[in-house]
Amino acid sequence: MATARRIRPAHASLIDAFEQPLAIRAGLADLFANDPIPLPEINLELIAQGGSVLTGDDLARLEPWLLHATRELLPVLESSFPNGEPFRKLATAAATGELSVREASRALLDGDAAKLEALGNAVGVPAGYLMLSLQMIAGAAIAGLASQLGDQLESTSWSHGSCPVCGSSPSLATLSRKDDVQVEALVGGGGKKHLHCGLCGHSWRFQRNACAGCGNEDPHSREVFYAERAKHERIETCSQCKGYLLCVDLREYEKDPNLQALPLALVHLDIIAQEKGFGPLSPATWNTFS
Amino acid sequence: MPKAFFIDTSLCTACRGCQLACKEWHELPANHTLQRGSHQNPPDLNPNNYKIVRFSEHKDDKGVVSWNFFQDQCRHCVVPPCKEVADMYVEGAILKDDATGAVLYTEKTAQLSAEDAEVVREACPYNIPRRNEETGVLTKCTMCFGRISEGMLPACVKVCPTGTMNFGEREAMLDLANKRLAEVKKTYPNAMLADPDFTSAIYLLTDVPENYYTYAVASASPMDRKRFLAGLAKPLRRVFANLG
Repeated sequence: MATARRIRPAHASLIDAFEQPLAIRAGLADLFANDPIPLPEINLELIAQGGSVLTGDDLARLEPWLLHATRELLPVLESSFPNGEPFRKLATAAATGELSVREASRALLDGDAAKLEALGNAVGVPAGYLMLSLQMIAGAAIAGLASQLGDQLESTSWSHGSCPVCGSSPSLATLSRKDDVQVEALVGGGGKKHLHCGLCGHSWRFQRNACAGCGNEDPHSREVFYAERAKHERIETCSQCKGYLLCVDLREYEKDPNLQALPLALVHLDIIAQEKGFGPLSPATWNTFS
Repeated sequence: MPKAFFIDTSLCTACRGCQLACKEWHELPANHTLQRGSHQNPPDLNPNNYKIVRFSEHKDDKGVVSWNFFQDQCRHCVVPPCKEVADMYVEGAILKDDATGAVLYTEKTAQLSAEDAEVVREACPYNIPRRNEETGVLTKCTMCFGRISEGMLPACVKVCPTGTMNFGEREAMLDLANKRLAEVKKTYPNAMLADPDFTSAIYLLTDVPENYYTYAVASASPMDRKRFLAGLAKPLRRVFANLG
C-alpha cells in the first residue's frame, strides 16, 4: 500500500479507504492457506474445457472460512468507508443466519446479479455493498484455497482468460521480470504475461498476444494505451469484446508491487479506458464510475 | 530507506546502453563529437551526458593488456561535499533527499556565479558536476529521481543487459557487492569495492582504481581521502561561520 500511495499521491483518499480492509484480507488469506481442509478434486476434463476448480461447488468446505472472514472484515469495512451502516446490517444478517454468506458467495461466482440484488434487498442492503463485502470475504477464503491447491494447479497447464480456481475475470495483468538464465554475462528476457484474478488474487500464465476477455488475437482490433513517461502502466483494449485490462511491466519496478493494492494506483487509466467506451474485465468498486 | 547503485564492472561489456538510456530518459540533446580513436564518446561528462562509460587500456608487467570499462556518474555521496559548499553560496541549490539518498541539483544552481560553481565542482572528489554555460545550471546524474519516486528502476539500470548496473536498498546493494566481491576475487585477487562506506554508487573494480580512471575513488583524486573525510566531519560552512 505504501508503494501505491507513493506512486499516486493523488489517489491517497481511495488508497486510505482500502488500506485496512486489504491488509485484513491478506492476513486472512495467509491464515487460511495454513489451515488444511479437504481439497476439491481437480477435474482435468472440466479444466480442459475452461471450467474452474470451483465450478458447481457448493462451497461447503469453505464455509468456516467465509464466516470467519465475515466476522473480521465487515467491521473493518464499516469503519473504513463513509456511510458504512450497510456493512453493519450485513454483519448482523450474517450472524443471525438471515443472510447465507455461502449462498451469496456462490451467486457471486456465478455472476448472478439478480440473485445478489434479491439477497441484498432481503436484508435491506444495496447490491453494491453486498458485492464489495463478498469480494473481500470470498476473495480471502478462495485465496487460501488457491494456496493449498498450489502444485496441483500448476500441472493443469491452464491457458484460459479466467481464473482456474474460481472462474473470475482478471483485474490486472503483469509482464514478468527478467529471466534468471544462470549465464553470468547475460541478463535478459522476461516479459511473460501473467493474469491476476480480481477475486482471489491467483496468478496464471497467459498468452501475450490475446485479449484475456474473449481470446481475440487479431492485432488490428487490440490496442495498447499508456502515458508518455509511464509506458510500464498500460491499458490493453479489445474492440471485439469492448473490454480492457490494465497491465504493468514488472521489469520497470525496483520491487514487486502489491498486486492487490496496485489497481488503486491505476484508477486514472480506468477512467481513460472507460471514456473511450471500454468496460473493465473485472468490475470493482474503485473502477466503476457510472 | 536510502537507495544505492551497485555497479559490477566485472560484468560490463561497454555496450553503453546505460549512457544512452540516461540521455534518452532525460531528453538531453546530442553533442558534436570528433573521432578521437577511442570508443569513449563523448570524451567526458558534459551538460548533455550525465553518465558516460570510460574506456581505459592498461598493459601489466607480463605484457597482458586489459581493457577496463568504468560507468562514470554521480556517486550520490552519503555526505555530499558539493552540497556543503553550495549551501555557503545559495541555500537549496543542491538538495539531498533523505528518503532515497539522492543528491539533487536544482534550477537554483543557476544562481551560482561561474567562479562559485567552479568551487562547488572542485569540492567533488569524483569530478562529476558540469556547468551548462548557456543556462548556468550545474548538471549531473539525478538518480532518475522521478522514476525511483514511482517505484521504478533508474533508466541505466533498467536497460543494462549484463547485470552490471543494479539498484535497490543500500543495505541490499552492499550485501550484493560483498557477495560478488568474494566471487570475483577468486579470479582477480586485486578486486575491490570503491568507497562503499561514503557513496551510494558502489563500484566493484577488478583492477586497481588508477587503471580505470583518475577519479575512480576519492583517494585517487586531487582531493585525497584524508581531506575528503576531514571535509565530511567539518563542513566548510561551519569553518567559515567560525571565521566570521
